[in-house]
Amino acid sequence: MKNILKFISVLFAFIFSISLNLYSQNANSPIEIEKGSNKLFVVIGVLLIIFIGIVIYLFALDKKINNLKKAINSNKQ
Amino acid sequence: MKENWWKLLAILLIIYSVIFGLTTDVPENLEASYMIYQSIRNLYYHVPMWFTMMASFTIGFVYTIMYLNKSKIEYDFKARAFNEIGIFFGMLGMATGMLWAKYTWGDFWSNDPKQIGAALCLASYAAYFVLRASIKDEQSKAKISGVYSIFAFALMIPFIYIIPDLKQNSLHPGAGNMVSLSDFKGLDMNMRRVLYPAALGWILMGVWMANIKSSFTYIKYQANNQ
Repeated sequence: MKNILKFISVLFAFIFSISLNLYSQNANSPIEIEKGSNKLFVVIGVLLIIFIGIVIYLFALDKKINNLKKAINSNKQ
Repeated sequence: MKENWWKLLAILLIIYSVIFGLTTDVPENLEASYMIYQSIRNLYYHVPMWFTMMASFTIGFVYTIMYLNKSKIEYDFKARAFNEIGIFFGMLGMATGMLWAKYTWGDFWSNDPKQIGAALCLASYAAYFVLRASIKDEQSKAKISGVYSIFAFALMIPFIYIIPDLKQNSLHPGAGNMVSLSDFKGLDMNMRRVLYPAALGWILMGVWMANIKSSFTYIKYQANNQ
């Protein structure tokens, strides 16, 4: 399980760094990127941040609940 | 399902805010100020995060008072859960705000009075959790941190409202005479129709998350004390 998580995070970091490189070749400042754009992508980014935040919270809670489950089970034995 | 109607309402309101937030018309004249363009739609997602933070801290404050009155440990669990959810939504508001700031003001962090105020507010609540972690005994932990959280709640108001409004050079709308709280007040009815339901939906979502968290803490407490 830990290896899978590690793999996924490395993969994401890799994809992210590639896209950042492509991005920075075309423009020097964020203001320049915006020319000809209506900035709708910022809204998409904001929605993704909220979604990812909730997912992270869910993961943390999931882990805590599993730990509690294990603790209760080991108490019973 | 009958007692869960408000959870359904939360989901429906958020779905509504995503669909209509992305499709309804927004005023064009905002283009002139701060290169906002279509990213004004972030109003429907960034601002409700702060509303939810304030609502969570307020509910947490009420539960703190109830705990200090009655000394029932369940109230302390509730207060703790709501404060945690408040910090969570505050961090989401901060992250979304920083992304938005990057593409309107040119920087993730520009030491805007409102940014600093919000960061200080979150820091004062973070100290609440540090304080809790440092005390072992359940009842004295609840009492001391409860008293502290009243102080943190009282600080939230100057941090978020009063100080940023005193500073006249905030980048946020509504401070001094920079941009357009007049624009915000004249925020057309189309935008209000999405913003307020979105805020209500996220507040209900926050209450839901805090309830799950406090139930978890309660079960853990029961399991430890058998």
